[in-house]
Amino acid sequence: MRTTIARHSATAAGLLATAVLVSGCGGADNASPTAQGSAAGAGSSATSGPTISVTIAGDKVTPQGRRLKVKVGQTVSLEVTSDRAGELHVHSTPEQHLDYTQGTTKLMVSIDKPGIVDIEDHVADVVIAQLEVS
Amino acid sequence: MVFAHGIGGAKDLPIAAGYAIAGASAALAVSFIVLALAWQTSRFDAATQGTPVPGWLARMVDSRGFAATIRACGFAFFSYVVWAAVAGPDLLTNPVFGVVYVLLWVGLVPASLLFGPLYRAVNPVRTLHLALSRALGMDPERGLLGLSERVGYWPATGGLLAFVWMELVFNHGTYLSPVRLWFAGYIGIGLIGGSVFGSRWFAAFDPFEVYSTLVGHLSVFGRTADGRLVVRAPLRNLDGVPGRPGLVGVVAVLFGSTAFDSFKDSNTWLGFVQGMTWNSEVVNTVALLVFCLVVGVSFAAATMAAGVDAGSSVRSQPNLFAHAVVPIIVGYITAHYLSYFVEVGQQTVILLSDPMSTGANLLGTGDLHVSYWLSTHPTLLAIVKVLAIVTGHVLGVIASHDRAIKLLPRRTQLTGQLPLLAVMVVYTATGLYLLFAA
Repeated sequence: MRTTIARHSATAAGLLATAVLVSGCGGADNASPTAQGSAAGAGSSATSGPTISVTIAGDKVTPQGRRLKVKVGQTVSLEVTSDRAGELHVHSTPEQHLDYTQGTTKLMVSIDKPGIVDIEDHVADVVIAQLEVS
Repeated sequence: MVFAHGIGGAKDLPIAAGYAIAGASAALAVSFIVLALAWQTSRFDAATQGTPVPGWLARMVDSRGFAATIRACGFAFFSYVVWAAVAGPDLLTNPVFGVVYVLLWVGLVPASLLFGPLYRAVNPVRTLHLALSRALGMDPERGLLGLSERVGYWPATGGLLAFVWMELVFNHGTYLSPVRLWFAGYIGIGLIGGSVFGSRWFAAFDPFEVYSTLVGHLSVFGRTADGRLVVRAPLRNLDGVPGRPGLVGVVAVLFGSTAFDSFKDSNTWLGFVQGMTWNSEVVNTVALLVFCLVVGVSFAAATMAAGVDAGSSVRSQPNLFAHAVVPIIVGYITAHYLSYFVEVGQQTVILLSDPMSTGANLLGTGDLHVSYWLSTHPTLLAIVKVLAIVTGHVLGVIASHDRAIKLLPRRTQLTGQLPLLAVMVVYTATGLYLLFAA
């Protein structure tokens, strides 16, 4: 149920929802490594974790559904190389949104609670990775 | 969409392999202990057993005023949510989605476990039907046509399937218009069926009422054959589930769909669906149906293999044993939805104060905060899940054992239970495996 709700809410709710709901979550800021927002800020003693290289060409996204084990509060780097701008949805609690531009964008994310967190490309509707946070 | 946990949130971690194996072994062992050592003459009889509740309580519960008050409360809440669904914004901050998928669909399980068949008492479609019948001077109990016994629970099986399809497969289940359309159909079919067949239609068709009434048979409140309100052990109460046609369909959809929900979030299925070019809704529809069919067919085959006394029909056998799957369903639903219910449920109660997304705090719950205590204690959560599944399994095995003694011919009473026992162990082990492979 969770993914379904998460995945398809965004389209209708759109940018308005994002603006309303991502309160206190600076998810739209790709220039700064604090893009993970306040929720993740709780784990301020963040250690650096794995890097995921993401390649996007239109609707073709790699990798897909990659499983990664990370620790609570650990920073995961996402290196997105894309031929278009777009947005990653991180289905944590609360959700985080990360914008990327055409070219290469470096994004950081960290999760402050245990669980499985999907990272999804919003435009292509593809789950890129699943973080197993413990 | 920062609709914390669930409606946008993280999913539970997989349970450790050791827990899954320990749970499955316990289930297997207990199954055979029950078979070998449990009583050899039936002990459960919902028609006669139970301690009558004190007179004042029985008079209160059976009074018209009590029924009308509960019905009015249910209808007031229903009207409030309809207002949010019709006039509220199409955003995930609209409490409608949490009310439908969390408070109603998941919440009816704990509510019915505590209070018995609660949804029947508040069912807003029954209330509408009652009001319409009164207004037209008609008897709500009586319809234009009789409802054949053979219809049984099959309409509810269809209704439940339609709901889980919207919840688990349909890509737009968290938009207002499809949810409104679904419930318009639900209310429409309820009212039309109610006027054609009378109010007994709701006990045959209404998916939430049938589900709630089934789970309510695991509460301590029941009624004897002469209608007296009694308190009794849940397993004695469970004996009172009417084994009507279609009961096996209802339990197959409830168990199969929950297993499918676990499975569809697994990394394996995700990779499969994303790797193919087919429409994911088509693939998931097929998978959902396969899960429900496998449960239904395996259960029917196992119970029909048990053999029958001369004179009774082998085809009715699955429905006479299907009540034993109810505890297994409740255990599995607990494991699957516990953190979701607790956390998104809190979120929904908060959002209910602001149905129009205007910053209002109508119910005074708007300033509360969600506690994520459960999610931050994953080991405890995993233990509770395994215990819930194993408890459900044990209760299911005892219920089916008692029914086997009652129904099966003496010479096959023991061996006749073996196929059913095997199927139940497989259900439980699969449930645990899906939690492990999440």
